[in-house]
Amino acid sequence: MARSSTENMITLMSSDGEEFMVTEKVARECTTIRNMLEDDCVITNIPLPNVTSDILSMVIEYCMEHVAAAEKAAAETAEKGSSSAPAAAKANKDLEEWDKAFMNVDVYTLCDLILAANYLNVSGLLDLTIQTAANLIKGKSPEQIRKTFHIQNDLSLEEEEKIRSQTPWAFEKSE
Amino acid sequence: MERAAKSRRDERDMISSLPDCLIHLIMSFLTAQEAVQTCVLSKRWQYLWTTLPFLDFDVRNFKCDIKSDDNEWDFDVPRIKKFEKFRDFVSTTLLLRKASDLHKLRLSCLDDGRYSLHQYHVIVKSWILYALKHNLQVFKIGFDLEGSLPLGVFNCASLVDASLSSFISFDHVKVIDLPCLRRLFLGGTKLNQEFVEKLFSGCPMLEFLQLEDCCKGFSAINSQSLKYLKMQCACVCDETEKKMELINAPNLLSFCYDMCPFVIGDKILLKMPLLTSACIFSDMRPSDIPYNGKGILIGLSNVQYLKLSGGGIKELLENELLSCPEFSNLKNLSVRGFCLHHRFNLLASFLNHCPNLEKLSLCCYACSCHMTVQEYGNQEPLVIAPYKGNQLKTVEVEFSEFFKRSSDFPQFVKYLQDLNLEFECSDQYE
Repeated sequence: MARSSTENMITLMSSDGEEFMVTEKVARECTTIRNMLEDDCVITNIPLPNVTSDILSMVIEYCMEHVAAAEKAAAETAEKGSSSAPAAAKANKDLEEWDKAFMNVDVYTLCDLILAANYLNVSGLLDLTIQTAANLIKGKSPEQIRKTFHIQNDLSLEEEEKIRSQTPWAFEKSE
Repeated sequence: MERAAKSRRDERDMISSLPDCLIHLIMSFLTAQEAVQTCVLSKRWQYLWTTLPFLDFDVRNFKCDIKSDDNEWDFDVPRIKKFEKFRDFVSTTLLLRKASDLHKLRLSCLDDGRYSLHQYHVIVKSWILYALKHNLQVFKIGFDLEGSLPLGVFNCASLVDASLSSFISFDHVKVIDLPCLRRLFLGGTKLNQEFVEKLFSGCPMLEFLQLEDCCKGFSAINSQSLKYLKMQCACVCDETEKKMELINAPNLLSFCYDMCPFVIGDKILLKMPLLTSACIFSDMRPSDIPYNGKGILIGLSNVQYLKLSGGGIKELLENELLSCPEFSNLKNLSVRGFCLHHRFNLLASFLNHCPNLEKLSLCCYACSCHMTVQEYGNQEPLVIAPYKGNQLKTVEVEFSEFFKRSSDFPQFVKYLQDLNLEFECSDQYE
C-alpha cells in the first residue's frame, strides 16, 4: 500500500515490549487510541500493557485491512461519482470473506482477541469475535460447549443434576 | 493456527476467565433458552444468566410433542401446549433473574409469525411491566395485545429502540413521552392522525420510523427529527381517503414509500428539502381503481438517488410526466420491474428530466400479458427521444428472455448504443 510520507506514524508497544509502527489512520480504528490522540496530539508512542505482541499484530492486521477497504471504496466513489452497487456489494463480500478467514483461530486466540478488541475499543472486531464465539455455542449441548472451550466442569454429578432438576423449565428440550 | 503462542496450548479455559460483561455480550447472540442452559457448564457459569441484560424469547423455539394434523378440531391443541411451555419459560426466567438491568428484551409471541394467543395477554403484560422497571432500552415485541399494551411503554424514559408488531390499535394511548426514542417500527397497526401527532411531539429524538402493513388513518406527518422514513400501508381508513396527504420532514434524508394501490388517497405533498435518497414502490393497480396521479415526483426533485420499482411505475410516469420536475441533483437512478413493452418512450422522456445522471440501472421485462402477435402487428414503432445528458458513466441493464424476443428490443438496444458508453448487460432477470 502506498502511503504518503507526510502521514503521521504512531508506535504501539505491546506488553512484551515489541514495537509496531502504524499510520495514525490505522491506530485511530482503536477508539481507545483515538481518544488518547485527541487528548494529546503530540503523542507518538503508546504503550499497551494489556495486549501481547501476537494479539496486537492481529488487531493491527484487522485494522489495516478495514482501513484499506474503506479507502478503496471512497476512492471508487470519488472516481465514478457514485459507487456502483454490484462493485460495492462485491467489496463488502470480499471483506466479509476476509473477516471469516481471519476468524479461523483457536479458542484461546479468539478470547484474547475479544479482550483486546474490548480494551482497545475496536467495535467491528469486538462484534466479529463475539459473534464468532456465540456461533461456537449455538445449538451445542453443554458437553460439546465444555469441550470446545475447555471448560472444566467443577460441578459434581449430583450438583449438575440438582441444577437441572431445579430448572426443568430450561431443559425440557434437551434429552 | 500457528499464530497462538505455543506456551498457551494447554487446556486453559479462557472463555470462563473473561469478565461477566463480555460473556454477557456473547450470550446476547443466543436465544434465552441457550443462554439459561449455560448454567450447567461449571460453577463460573451457574448464575451468569441471572444478570444477563439481553433476553430473546421466541415462541417458535419451543417444540410441541403432540403431532399437529390437519384436523381442524385439534388445530389449537399443539399451539396452546407450545405457548404454555413458552409462558412457563419466560415467567420463570424473569422470576429467577437477579435485580439487574434488562437493556434489551425481545418477545416474539407470534406463532408461525402470525398467530398469538389472546388469552395470555395478562401474563405478557406482566412481563412487559417487569422490563419497564429494569432500564429497558431496546424492546421488540410481536404479540396481539388488542389495545392492552401497558401504557408505560409510551412513557419509558430509557427506551431507545422499539419494534411493535401486530398491535391492532393504539387508541387507548393518551400520552406519549419517549425522550430517548430514536428508532421505531410499527407493524400491522391501525394508525390515526391523533396518534401520529402525539408520536412526533412525544418523541423529539425519533430518527428512524418504519411502518409496515399499517392501516393508514392519518393524512399528515410533521416531524423535525425524522431522518429515515419507510412507509408501507396496506389499506386506508375511509375518513382520510379524500384528504390531501402531507409529509413535512425538514431533516429527512431517506424516504421509502410504497404506493399501495388500495390506498387511493388524493394528492401528496412532500416537504423534504434535505432528502437525498428515495425509493418508490408502486404495485400493479387493479383495473377498477382509477389513478389520477399523486404528484409524488414533484416532491422528490432534490434527490441524488432514486429507485422506482413495481408494475405500477408506468402509471406513475404516465400521469406525472407532464408535471415532472427536473431532477437536477439526481446522479443515480434505478428502475426495476417496469414493463417496457411499447412504453420505452415513456422511460426515455423521463430520463430527459434527469440531465445529470451518472449511473443508470435498468431491470427490464415485458409482460407476457401484452405479448400477443396481433397487438404487435398494429403498433407503430415508437418515437424515442435520445438521452441528452452528458454525465452518464455507468449503465447496468438486466432484461428478461421475453423482452429480448420482443419487438421493442432492437429499439432498446439502439437507444443504449446511442449513449455511447459501455454498459454491463445481463439477461438473468426473470
